Parts: sequence; structure tokens; C-alpha cells
Amino acid sequence: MANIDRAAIIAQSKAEQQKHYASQRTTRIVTNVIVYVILVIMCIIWVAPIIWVILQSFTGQLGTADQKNFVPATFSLKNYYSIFTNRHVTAVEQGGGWLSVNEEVSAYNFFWSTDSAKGFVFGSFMVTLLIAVFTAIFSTLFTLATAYAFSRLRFKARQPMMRVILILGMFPGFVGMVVLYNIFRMIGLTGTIWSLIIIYSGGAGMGYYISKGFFDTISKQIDEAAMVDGATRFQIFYKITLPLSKPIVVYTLLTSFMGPWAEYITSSYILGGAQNNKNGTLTTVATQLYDMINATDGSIRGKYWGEFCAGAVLIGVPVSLLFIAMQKNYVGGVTGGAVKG
Amino acid sequence: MSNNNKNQEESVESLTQPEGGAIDFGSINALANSGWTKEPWWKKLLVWLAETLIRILLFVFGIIFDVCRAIVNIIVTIVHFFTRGCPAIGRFFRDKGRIWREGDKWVKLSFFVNGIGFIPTKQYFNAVLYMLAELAFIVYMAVVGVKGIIDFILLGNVGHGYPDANPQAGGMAQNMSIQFMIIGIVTFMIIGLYVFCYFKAVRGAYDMYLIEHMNEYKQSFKDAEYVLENPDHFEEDLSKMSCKKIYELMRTKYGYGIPSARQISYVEWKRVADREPNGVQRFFKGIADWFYRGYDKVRNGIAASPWSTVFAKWLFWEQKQPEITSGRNYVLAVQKGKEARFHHTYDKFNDYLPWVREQKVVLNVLADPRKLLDCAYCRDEVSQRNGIEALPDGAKLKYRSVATRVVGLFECELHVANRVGKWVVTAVQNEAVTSRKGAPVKAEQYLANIRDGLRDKYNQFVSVNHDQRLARCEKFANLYLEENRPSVVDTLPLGKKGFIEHFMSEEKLDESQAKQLYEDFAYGNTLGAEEAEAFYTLRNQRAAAVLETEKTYPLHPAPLSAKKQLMQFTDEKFHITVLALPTLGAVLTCIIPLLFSIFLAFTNFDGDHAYNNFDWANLGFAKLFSTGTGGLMKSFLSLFVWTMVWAFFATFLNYIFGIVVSLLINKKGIKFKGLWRTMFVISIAVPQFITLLAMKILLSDTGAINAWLASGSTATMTGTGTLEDPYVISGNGGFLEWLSGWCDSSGRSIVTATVRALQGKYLRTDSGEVIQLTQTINVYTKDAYIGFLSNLNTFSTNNSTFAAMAIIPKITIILVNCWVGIPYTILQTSGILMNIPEDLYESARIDGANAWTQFWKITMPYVLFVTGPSLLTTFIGNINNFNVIYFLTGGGPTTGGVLNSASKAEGTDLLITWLYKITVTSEKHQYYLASSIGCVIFLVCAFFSLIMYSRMGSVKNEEEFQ
Repeated sequence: MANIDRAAIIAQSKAEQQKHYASQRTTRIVTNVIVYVILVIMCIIWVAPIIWVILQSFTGQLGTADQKNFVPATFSLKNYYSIFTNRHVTAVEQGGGWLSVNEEVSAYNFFWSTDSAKGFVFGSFMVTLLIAVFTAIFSTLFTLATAYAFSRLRFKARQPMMRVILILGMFPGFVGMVVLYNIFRMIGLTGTIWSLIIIYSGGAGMGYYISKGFFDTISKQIDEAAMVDGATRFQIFYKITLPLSKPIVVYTLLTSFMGPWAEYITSSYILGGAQNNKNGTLTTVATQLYDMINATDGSIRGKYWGEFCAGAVLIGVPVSLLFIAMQKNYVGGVTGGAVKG
Repeated sequence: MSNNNKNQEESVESLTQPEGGAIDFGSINALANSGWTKEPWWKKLLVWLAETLIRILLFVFGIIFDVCRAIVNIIVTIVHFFTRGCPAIGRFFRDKGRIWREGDKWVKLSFFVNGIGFIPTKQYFNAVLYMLAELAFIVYMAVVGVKGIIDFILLGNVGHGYPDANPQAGGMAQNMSIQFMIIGIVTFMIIGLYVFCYFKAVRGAYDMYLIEHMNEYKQSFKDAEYVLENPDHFEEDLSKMSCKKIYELMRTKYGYGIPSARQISYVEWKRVADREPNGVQRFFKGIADWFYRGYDKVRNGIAASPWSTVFAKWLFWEQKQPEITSGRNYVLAVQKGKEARFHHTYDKFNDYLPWVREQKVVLNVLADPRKLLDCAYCRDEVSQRNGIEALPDGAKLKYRSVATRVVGLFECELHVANRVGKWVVTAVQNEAVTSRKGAPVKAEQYLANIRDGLRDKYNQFVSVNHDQRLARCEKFANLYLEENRPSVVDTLPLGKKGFIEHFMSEEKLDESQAKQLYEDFAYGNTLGAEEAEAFYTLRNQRAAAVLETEKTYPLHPAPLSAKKQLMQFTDEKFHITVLALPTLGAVLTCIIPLLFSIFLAFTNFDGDHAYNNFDWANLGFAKLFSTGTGGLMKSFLSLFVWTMVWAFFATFLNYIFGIVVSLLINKKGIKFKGLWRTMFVISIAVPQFITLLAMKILLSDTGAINAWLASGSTATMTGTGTLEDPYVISGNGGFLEWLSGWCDSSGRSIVTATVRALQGKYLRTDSGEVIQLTQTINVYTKDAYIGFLSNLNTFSTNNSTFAAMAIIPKITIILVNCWVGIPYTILQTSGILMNIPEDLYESARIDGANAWTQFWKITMPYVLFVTGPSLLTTFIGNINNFNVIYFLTGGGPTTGGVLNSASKAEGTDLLITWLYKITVTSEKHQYYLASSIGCVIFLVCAFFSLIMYSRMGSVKNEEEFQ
């Protein structure tokens, strides 16, 4: 009798358990579906503008005609043709051909131009590339050095310096641009890429926070063990900390490389003019592309929308690919560590 | 003539800036005419005189200064004899005087070199560096500096310099205010740096002096040890010497500058020595007394500490000497076992070093003897588990990790250091403990001393029943401690008689034996307690002195050679190497511009006084904080509020939604995590200005979004067009109409009605009014769109406050910023979220915490702890967020009200874009105003970050987190 009862109870409880599991599973599935839906919607919102720009770069319409369409009315490669050859297309084949019918000299020099008067002139893309490469090198050195010093070395001025840097970072730097411009003028660096490289990488050390956070997570016991083995602090930095910090090195390189591509205000102020083929002045990509949309010159305003999109794609695609490829390092750079603290 | 004019124009052009340098030629000419040549002669003369005077002064500055200091030092040498009673001041003067008195010709010479006061042996290259630096400074000041400061102070007063400057001759302008300002700032910084270096050099030189002489002190210290251990031998030596020789010995072997020794004349000295055989000892005793009494005062002086200890010890030994028989052996044994070993190791360090170098191990530990001692201590800890509770947890771990390595390497030799380390550290700890917790710990220490140190002694005295007696002895010690009496004999529970009887009956001793035992016992007990106390005191003092010495100077200090000093930059001074370039960069690109900006707020630097001739004036703040005509207080407050609202939403919406999204992505059971993350990352991978400009076009009034919202709209026209039956255009505006109707009762939409409304007919408008058409319209567009960025239309028409506050553009901007910022938060936090240990959640679940509680109690604290500082910088960064506003709206739309054309501000302007407009876009280029706004922004940011910074856990507990 008792056995039967027990078996029944067991069976009942098993059934209940299964029911419970089943209901749990249903809940989980429902939640997951909801989460998937949310994620899909959000991804559409996040990716749509970028796809829009990419599609717009293939537009076959002139000027801003296609701006209000998500998918261009006609497709062509005229914008890329324009960007690569510095020939602005003024007419395309009826019905959306792939190439131009009529063209004129472009107002913007994107890659380079071989003007008969000026000879070979670097366009904004090459200028920015140069600036970005140098900036990446210098500011990575500065940032890592500062971060290492504040994270690992203990010296009297450490706390005060950190506080001063914190406070310095709060001052809007724009007013200082005036004086920087004049300093560069005094030493004859205006109108060269070095002025921008100096500005971009000079203050890079003050953005040490993320790298320091990374160094902090590397266990100090490693350092101490190295010290016991007779390593100097330089050797520790060079032989132990740096190899352990590849993610943050890559991350810093990447961010500082990407900086100049996206920086507008300083470059436009220091280097000045945005149109860059006639007068041969230097300009960066950001300034030039901004000018394509917001040109102060009425005669070219609105004409270069397609070129803007094409230029944006040409910059955006490599930089984005680089960024996505390094995404893991980015995550590691912010949070990772050799030994968990 | 025309040619001349042309030249002038060219030169003026070269002077003006490409941006904002709006100088009209009239003002330049006026400047030229009112220039130096027009100044009265006496003014020129005055300026010339002043400059020349300062130049001359500067040339002789260093020499005058040095001579003055040398004189002061000489006076000080005399004065210090009188100031000995006042230790703090006296010590300073005494040391200065001692440097002069004891130094050789180099030292004396060095008093004349700026900032040195002393050149240690092998340190002449330093002196040369100092001298070069001084020379460079003087030359700089004479050539540029003085002029720079004068220019900086006069700033706008035309013509105080460059008398030959003539724009027409193509030279510099008369008065390049901006250059004066830069040079002035740089000069001030250089002066500051120089003064800093100067004081550091003086300080460093003094330290070097002491370090160099520490070795001599150490030698004398060793000698004293020798004397202590071989007193008889020493006395023999002394008796054979002449008094003068003794004095010399005192002076050379035991250091110089013992005032007491010098004050006792030779005669007196000899008389004392002749009259009493123990005279030498008494003499020592006198000195020792002096030192011992003055110990507390003197112990802070680094030079005094080894000495006071030696003499304190001497005193101790001498006082006890007549009485101590077996007790003395004990003391010596203790000293030998502990202190002597300490000094043995102490002195053997140098012997160990080569061996260690050969083995390529433990250099840094040896370079830092404290560490070695710690290591040794730890090793003991590890092996014995003795007193480990006294150490804090962190220290225990750290020491153990080092110690375990040391153990393997030093097995043969380090047992000495091991003991020593333990001894020093416990002594130091004990001192710390007693000073804090007082009696109980101290009493324990007494007990421990007695237990450890007197065990052997009691073994000697009492041959039988060892444990029992030891226990009793401890009991006596306890009694002693409770009563705190010098002797415990009287407090023996049995009394003398009882004691003897007890031993006679219990131990079967005869009476004399028992009596002797009692005597011994009582004597030993008293002695033990006293000795323990004396020893304890000494030991603490000694430990304190050692600690102090070590804190200030390394145990084996020596002036480093040039090469070693250079090598320090890869090790002890590595931070200087590492930080040099970043600091230089920061000074050039941040600090100088920053100072400049601050100064600029007090000038009238604008389009009318550009670059060449602005002057000091308090315009910026006055204008910013005035509510009167031309005052910008109201605009400022309005923009300030919006800036704060913006920064708040931009920071925290991004943060919270970012965490939520990354939680969704990280949720269990969600697949393609990498894909989702990549989707979000794409949007930040593209340079920001591209996406923002694309957004601007997308969201514009005629942009794709508005077109999409209005797509599918239709319109029909009813009515015949007469006055009685006017045309009525009605439409179905699709989603946009629904949205508009939801927000705006008039139901506007983009409706394109392809109808033909003839001229002269009547049309009923939206407001119900009937109007006669002045022309035929073929396509009637009811003009409606959502002014995402332009603030026009739909929402605003019927709601003027809504429009005046530019609410829609503001919301759009914040949402777009979410679009920009959320992926960053996802990137930052998803790694952190994955790192949160799963067992935290498990235990929370077991405790019955639901998802909400888990999020707030586990996830958020964890994420906040890691990303807290970045949150702070994000907030500050958003206050200064230029890009989003500038690229999306450029500050617009214009709303009127306080943000009018006079203030140059528009609806969505942040303070920083306002600043940009004032500086660059506006015609007046009011740099001074921009600077004062910059200062205010700075103060606001500083306020916020100081509050947040002081409360941030991960900042406070930085070391713990590491």
C-alpha cells in the first residue's frame, strides 16, 4: 500500500517536474524570441543609415536628387569615377547608365591630382593617411608610457599629475587652438601635416585612462617576480608588460589611427581651406567631406552629394573593417588582463 | 606711390590670419603712426633704462646671490654653536656649517655655485650641469626673458619694443600681442621650473652630503660594536694612547662634531683619565648621558641616530657592568644572537652582492634591504606560522610570493638575514602596536621576552624541575607586570621563608642550597625583568632609529657615479624617462594654450584688436555675467541648462541602454552573439562625422525619413470653388498624419494633391478661413514635415514655447547621440559582463533574488566599478561634445528670445558650440568672450568631476583593486 502511494507520489512529482521544466522551457523560448525581435529591430535601426550611405554612393542621379530615396532611383559608378579621377560628372546616361556622359574638373582632390600647373598634389585622403600613421605611432607611445607610469610606477608626483591631467581634460581646448596656430606660425609649421600630428599626439598621454585600467589588471606579482629575478623597471615594461598588453597596444594604435579620419574642428582650423586641388593647400578628409555637403561656395553647394557618399564609403569601409577585425582586442583592451585581479 | 601702397597691402596681408584676423588697414596705419617713433623721449629713455638695469642685474644675479648665500653660510657656521638648544633650527644651521667646515676646497667652492652648496666626490659632473643650467637661465633671461615679461605686462601699449619694426619695411608689426603673450607665458614657466630645480638641487646636494658621510658613520658604528664586544681590549688600547690621540680617535673614528667631546679640554680630559682608572668610561658615560637624554630630540636627525644608539648601549652596558655577572652573558648572548647577527648581515650585504650578481638573482631585493628583511621575515612566517596574524592580509600574500623565491636562492646564507628580518620587523611592529594599543600588548611582549630570553638563564640557576619553575617565573613576571614594581622579590607568594621551606621539602635540598636558590631566583627574577625592560626599550629605540634611517636613506648609500645615475633612468627613475615626452607634448599642446586661454579672458582680443594689438581689459566676464544691455547672462543660463540636460541624457541614456542591450546579447540561449555585436559596432567603426552628416541629411526636412513617413499619402479636393462652396482639400497623410494628429490637433501632413485649383476661386484653408486664390495652383502641397532638426512646422506651429525651446531638435539630437553612443557602451560592457563570475548569480538565485535584484545588486555594481571613471570622462566629454551638435544642427535652429542674433546663440547650441561660433563664425571674433566661457565650462566640469571623483569606489580603492 505504502509502496503504491510512494510510486504514485514519485510519478506525480516527476510529472510536475516535467511540467515545470516544460513551462520553464516555454518561458525561455518566448523570452528568446522577444529578445531576437528586439535585436533585429535595433540592428536595422543601427545599420540602415550606413547601408543608405553605401547605396547612395552608387546613385546615378545628379546633385541631391536621390537624397530622399532609400534606394537610389538609378545606379551608376560616376561618383567613384569622380573621386578617383577628380572629374566631376555633370551628366549621366539617361535611365541610369553606369558611367558619365559629360564631366568637368572637380572642386575637390581626394586621392591625388596631377595638375599640369602644380604637378603632383596629394589629396585629402593621402594627407589624412600620413597624419593618421604618424599620429598612431606617436600617440600610442605617449599613451602607453603615461598609462604604464601611472599604473605601475610609484613616484611622488604621481597623484598630483593624475589630478592635474584630470582637470586639464576639462578645459575646452578650442580657445587654445588660437595660440597653437600662432605657435606653429612662429616656428613655421602652419600648413604642414606636422602641426596636426603634434596637436593630435601631443596631448595623447592625457587619455591614458583605458590603458591604465588594462595595466592595472595585470597582476603585480608578475612584476615582483621579475624584480626578484633582477629585472629593471625598463626591462619589466619591455619584456613583460608590453607582451602581455598586446590587446591594449592594438587598441590604442587603432583608436589613435582612427582619430584623424574623424577629426574635423582642429584640422579645419589649423589647415584652413577645404578645397584642395587648385590652390594646393593641405586638407584632411573630414574637412573636405564636410565641405562637400556644407560648402560655403554657392556654386558647388549640393553638387557633390554623390561624391560625399563615395568618399565616405572609401574611408569608412577600410576603417570599419579594421575596427571590426580588432573588435576582440577592443573588448580585451577595455577589460582584459593577464591575471584576474 | 602706388607701388608703395601695394607693398603695404601685401605686408598687412601677411600679418593677418587666414581665419578671423579681421584687421582693417586703417587701424594698422594708425598703429604705425602712433608707434615708437612718436613716443616722447623720456619714455623711451625710461624703458631703455629699466631694461638695461634688469639685464645687468640678471648678469650679476647669480654671483650676487651666491656670494650672499656663502656669507650667510659662514655666519651660520658661527651661529650654529649657539643654536644647538633649538634642535629643529639648530640642526639645519649646524649641518650647513658642518658642510662648510668639514668640506675641502671643492666643497667651499661649491658654495659659490648656484644652487649647490656642496659637491660630493665623483659628482662634479652634476656641478657642471647645474652651472650650465644656471648659465643658460641667465642668458635666456637676459636675451629673451626680461623683454618677454615686460612685453607681457605692457601687452597692448604700442611701441615699447622693436623700435625698428615697420610694416612698410616688411618687418614685424610693432606689437605682436599674441607673441608677447606666448613668450611671457613660456618665460614664467621657465622661471617656475628654474626655481623648482634650484631648490631641488640644494636639497639634493645636502642629501648627497649626508649620504656620503653615512658610510663613515657606519664605520664608526662598527667600531662601537667592536668596543662593545671587546671592552677589555679597547680599554687597553685607550690606556696606551695619549690624550690627543684619544681625542683624534674620537674625532676620526667616532665621527666629527661631537660637541661634548670638544668642549672638554685636553687638560680636563687628562686629569680625569689619570685620577680614575675608569675615567675613560666615565667620559663615555657623560657623552652617552648627553645623547641618551637628548635622544628623543636628536633621534629625528639622521646623523644622530646611530650615535645615540651606540652610546645608549654603552650606557646600558656600563651601568649594568658592576652588577651583571651571569646576566651580562645573557645580554651579550641576546645581542649576539640578534643584533650582532643583524649587523653581520648588514655588513655582509656587499659581500653577498657579487655572488648574487653572478647568479643573476635578487638584485632588486638587495638594492632594497627593507624588502630583503621583509622577505626573510616572510620566509620565517611561512615556515613557522608564528605571529602571522599580525600582518595584514595583502602584505602576507605579497611577502609570501617574494619570500618563496628568496628561500630557494638564499638557503645557505640567509638564515641570518631571516632571523634579523624577523627581529627588526617584529620590533617595529611592536612599537607600532604598543603606541596604539598600549599596555596589553606591551605586557605580552615582556612575557615573550622573558620566556624566550631567560629560559637559558633559569636553566643555569635551577637545574631541576625546569618547567615548573619556568611557569612560576612566568607567574612572577605576570605579577611584576601587574604591580609594575622594580622587584618581585617581596611579592613572592610564599615569602622567603616559605620559599626555602618549600624547596627543602619538595626538592629535598638542604637549607643553604635552598637559600642560594632563592637568592638566585630572586636576583634573576629582578634582573630578568629589568633587563627585559631595558632591552625592550633599547630595542624599540634602535628599531625606530633603523627604520628612520632606512626610510630616509638606503642602507648602503653611496654617491652614484655618472653612469649609475644614468642607469637609474631605466629603473628607479624610469617614470621620468617614460613621462618626459608625454609631458612635453602636454605642455606644448595643452598647458600653454590653457594658460593662454585663461589670460585671454582678461584681454580685449577680438576682430578689432586681432593678434597685433590687443590689451588687458576686463571685458569677457563683465559681458558674460551682465544682464544689462549687451549682457549675455540670460543666453548663458539658457545654454547652460540645456548643456547640463544634454550631458545628463547623453551620458546616462547611452550607458543604461548600452548595458541593457549588451545584457540582451549576452543572454543565455541567444545565438550569433558576435554577429549582433558586429552589427552595432559597424556604426561606430565608421568615422563619426560621416554617420552624423548622413544622419543630418536623412533627418532633414526634405530628407528620406520625412519622405518615407509621408509616403502613401493621398489628397482629394471637393467643392466647386465658389465662395459658398469653396475648395476643400483633404488628405490622408499616412503615418505622418497619424503622428501629427497625435501630437498636433491640426492634423498636418505632407499631402500632395494633384488637383487644379483655378485662379479667382475660393479655398478653405485649414483654419477654416476662406481665401480667394491669386493664381492657379496645379499641385497643392500642404506643407508639413517633422522638423527633426529644423524645429519648423508640425509640432511647433501651434505651440510657440515648444518651438522657442527647440524641443524636437533637442530630442532628435539626444536620440541620434544614443545611436552613436550605445555601441560604445556595448563594446565596453559586454566583456565585463562576461567576466562576472557565474557563481555570484547562482548564489543570488539560491537566496531568492530575482532578475531585477540581480541586475541592480550584482551586475550594475560590478560594471560601475570597472567603468566608473570612464563614465565620468564621458560626462565631461559630453559637456564639451562639439561633434554631434555641430554636424547635426550646427547649433540651429534659430529660436529667438534670449538666444538672439546679439548673443550669437541658437536653439541647440551647447556652451562649446556657442564658443565656437563666437570665435570663428561670428564677424567680431570675440576671443576674450570665448575664453571666459571656456573658463566657466572648466569650472563647471571641475565641480562635477571633483564630486564624482571623490565618491568613485574604483578611484578610492585603486591599490586594493590592483
